[in-house]
Amino acid sequence: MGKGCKVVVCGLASVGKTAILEQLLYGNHSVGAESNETQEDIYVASVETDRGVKEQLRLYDTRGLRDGQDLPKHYFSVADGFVLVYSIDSLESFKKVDLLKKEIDKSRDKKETVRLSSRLRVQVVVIVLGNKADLRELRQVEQETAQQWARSEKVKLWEVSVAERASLIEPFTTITSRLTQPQSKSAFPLPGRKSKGVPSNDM
Amino acid sequence: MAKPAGTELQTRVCMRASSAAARVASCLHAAASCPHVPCGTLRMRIIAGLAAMGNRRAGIYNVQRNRGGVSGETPTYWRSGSQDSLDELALDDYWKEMEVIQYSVDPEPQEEVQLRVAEVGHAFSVLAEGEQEEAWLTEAGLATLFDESASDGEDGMVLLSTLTRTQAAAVQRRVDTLSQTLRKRSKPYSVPNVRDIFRPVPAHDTKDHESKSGEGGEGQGVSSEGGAETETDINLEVSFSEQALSYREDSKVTLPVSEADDKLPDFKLLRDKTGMTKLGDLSPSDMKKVHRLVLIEMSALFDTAGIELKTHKPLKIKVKETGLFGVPLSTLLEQDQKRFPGTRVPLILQRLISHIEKEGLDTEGLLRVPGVSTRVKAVCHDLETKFYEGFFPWETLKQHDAASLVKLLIRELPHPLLTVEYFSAFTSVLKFPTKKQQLQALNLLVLLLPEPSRDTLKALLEFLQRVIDHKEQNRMTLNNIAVVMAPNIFMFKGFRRKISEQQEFAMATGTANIVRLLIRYQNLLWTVRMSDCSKPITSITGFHMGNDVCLPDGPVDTSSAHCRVPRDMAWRSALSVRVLGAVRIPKFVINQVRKQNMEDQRKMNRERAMKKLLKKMAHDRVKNDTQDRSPEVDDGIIRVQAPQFSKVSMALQLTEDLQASDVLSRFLSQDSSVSVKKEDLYLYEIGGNIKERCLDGETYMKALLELNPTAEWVIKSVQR
Repeated sequence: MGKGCKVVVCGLASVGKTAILEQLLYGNHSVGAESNETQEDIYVASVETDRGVKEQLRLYDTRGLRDGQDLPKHYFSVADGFVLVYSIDSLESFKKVDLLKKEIDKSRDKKETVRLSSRLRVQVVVIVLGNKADLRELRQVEQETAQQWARSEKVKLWEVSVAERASLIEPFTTITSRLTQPQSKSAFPLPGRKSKGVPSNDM
Repeated sequence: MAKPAGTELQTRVCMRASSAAARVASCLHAAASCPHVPCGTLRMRIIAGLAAMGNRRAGIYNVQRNRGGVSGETPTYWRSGSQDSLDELALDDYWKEMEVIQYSVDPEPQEEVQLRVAEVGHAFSVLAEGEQEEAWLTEAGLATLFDESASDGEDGMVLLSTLTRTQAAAVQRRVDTLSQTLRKRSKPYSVPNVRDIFRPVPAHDTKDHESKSGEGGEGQGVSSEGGAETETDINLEVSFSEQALSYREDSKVTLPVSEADDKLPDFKLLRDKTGMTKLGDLSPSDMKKVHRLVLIEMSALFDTAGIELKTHKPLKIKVKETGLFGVPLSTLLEQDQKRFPGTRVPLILQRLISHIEKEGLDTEGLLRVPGVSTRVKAVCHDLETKFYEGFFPWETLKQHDAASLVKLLIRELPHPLLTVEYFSAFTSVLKFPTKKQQLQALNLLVLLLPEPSRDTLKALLEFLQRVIDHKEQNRMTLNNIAVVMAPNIFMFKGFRRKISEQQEFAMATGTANIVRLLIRYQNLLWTVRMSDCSKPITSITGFHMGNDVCLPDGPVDTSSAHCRVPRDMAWRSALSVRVLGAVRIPKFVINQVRKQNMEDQRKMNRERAMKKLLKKMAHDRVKNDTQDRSPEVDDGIIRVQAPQFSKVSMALQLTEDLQASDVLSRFLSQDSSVSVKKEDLYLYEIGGNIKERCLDGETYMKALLELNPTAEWVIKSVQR
């Protein structure tokens, strides 16, 4: 299983998480298409980083959260990165993203103390996507407010639209690049990863 | 009603009815038209034969024929024009066919024939009593019962513990007999007392029965209610032999011996929510278990009905190693597979069938009218040398000759198509009191057949059905076809000489009826090919000579244009189109396999638990932690994996009517990145109490999950 970074895509229900992933991967999502409620799907994507290397991502498409619902705990221990999705036409969804970010921070603190010894990379990468950017008339979340929030939380935020596939590519390239960044501190080759992974399942 | 004139037969026919005369004459006639008649006198005594076989008249017809000298004139073709019922005509056809067969035997020197007879005689020897049981137990995977050293790593006990009442009785009976004979022979090794064998079981046994009445409750219920299930529903959930037993107990009715054989009711299979299982859907290791269980079940079924089975043993006989006619099926297939890997039905048979179909199936009397035997013989010789080289001039082959060749091919097989081992079981099938039980027995027997025989039989049956589909034009009804094919399928080389004339007559109706059942109910025994129904004709340029080669298996649509494709590619693509129906495995067999696997696992776990104790507790706890986390699956959610897709996993909320095909289409709707053909993708049930099972599209996932809660669900392509 293990190969590839695990990225959890989460957010309020029907903000377009599955749509983003399917448009990104297959490019055949039609806007406004009827949606099935996702339980949990896992996609494997191969993304080219800004260093020109192809990396594998395991994208966890989670079940849309309803109000008051929390993201199931096990995702926090699994994930190497998060893509938080809100929809610009719903203030509620943006608030959820804020809550999620706080929870991630909390779990990260815990993780650091627990896992520092066993895991090399503990830094969880978070990006935020404001979906449905094409629905300008219905906008409830101002771009400026969102960006300000993002700066304060030290995360990157993009406004995207599933209708425009091109807008989806940059955020995912960025998160992949950040996730696979070689650890600047360690001069040693990462034990385990290289020796195990390379020969057998180099795709 | 003219008697054939000009034959040099002296036909002395004593009879009362003139129409009967015509019939007998007609059957003799066919023989007379064949110039290669061996000299000699043949006496046919038809003892009430025609009468017993669906005829109303009784009487003794004594026909003596004296064939001497050269066969000079060829009499004009004559057929009974009487409008008697088709049945009567049909039985004539049986005897006529027998005659044709008789004379198609090469006029070899007499001694050689004798020699061969002697060989074949051995090939069909009945096993001695003890041996028979020994062989049976070995095949049933229970060799440990009489030979401690024979353990092949698998425990017979586990198998025993999952048997049903009747199945256990069948095993017990054979162990009994074996131990008796062994005691007689005072062999050095001892056979355990039957009581010892079954002693450790009862604990499980009762439990099994309890659990059965719980989980399989509906099954037991059905069989006891009896009435709820109509006569024509086939219940695959309850062991056939158990059903037979309850039938025997319930209805002390005298058997409907004179049940009109003509009426073949439409049976329907009770739909199984957990999906039907076909041969080939399971992993080899589970298939081995299936085979054993089916063997035990088959014996139990015959035991329950009180039918004695003689087991025959195939002895090594000298057979041709190469060629087409008179070559074992396996050798034929080996030759073909060298050319076209994956061939399941001998190419020569496919080619002949396709030739017949190309000429059109509307020809009257197709398969009944014999080919001209001189020509057939010549063509036969030609084929032997030219078939594989591709020089055979197919366009010159007459349709009736081709039909004769198909029949010749089948009956010249050195081992019967239905195999030596199960031959007598096949012929005994009709002794079952009901059609339903007959069918169930056939289902088990077909499952037991080795693959080449099963596939070839199926290809043949499908062809026969297609001929019957044209019965309006060719006047070959189910009965007619069955009667004509029966002697070819059952009277294989050599067997005929072993039986008395009397037996021969008894077999006439019997075998014809079995063939009828096989043709009529092939879609119950086998699955119906659905995927390739819409496929266009596979008409291709074959072999070197550019003859049109049309592989038979897709329904042939003569109107569509013939596409010409390079030879090799065409063969290959044609072969991939050919999907034979697969045999259904009754559900109770699968359930028994599941139970057996669960027992196995329980045992393994017990052993593992011992080992675990030796390990450190802390280590254990870590392991348990991870295990606890993985089944975070909420109720009614399954996780389907699809390693070949970019969407590698999907969690699905189960609903009552979610079927396997829905799961597949969820994946396929989006993903266009798959490199494999969509038709080849199936949902598999892996792990839990089955090694691996390819799911039928109509499997209800929720029902199956209850049956196998710990299974994993994986989408992958079939490897067949």
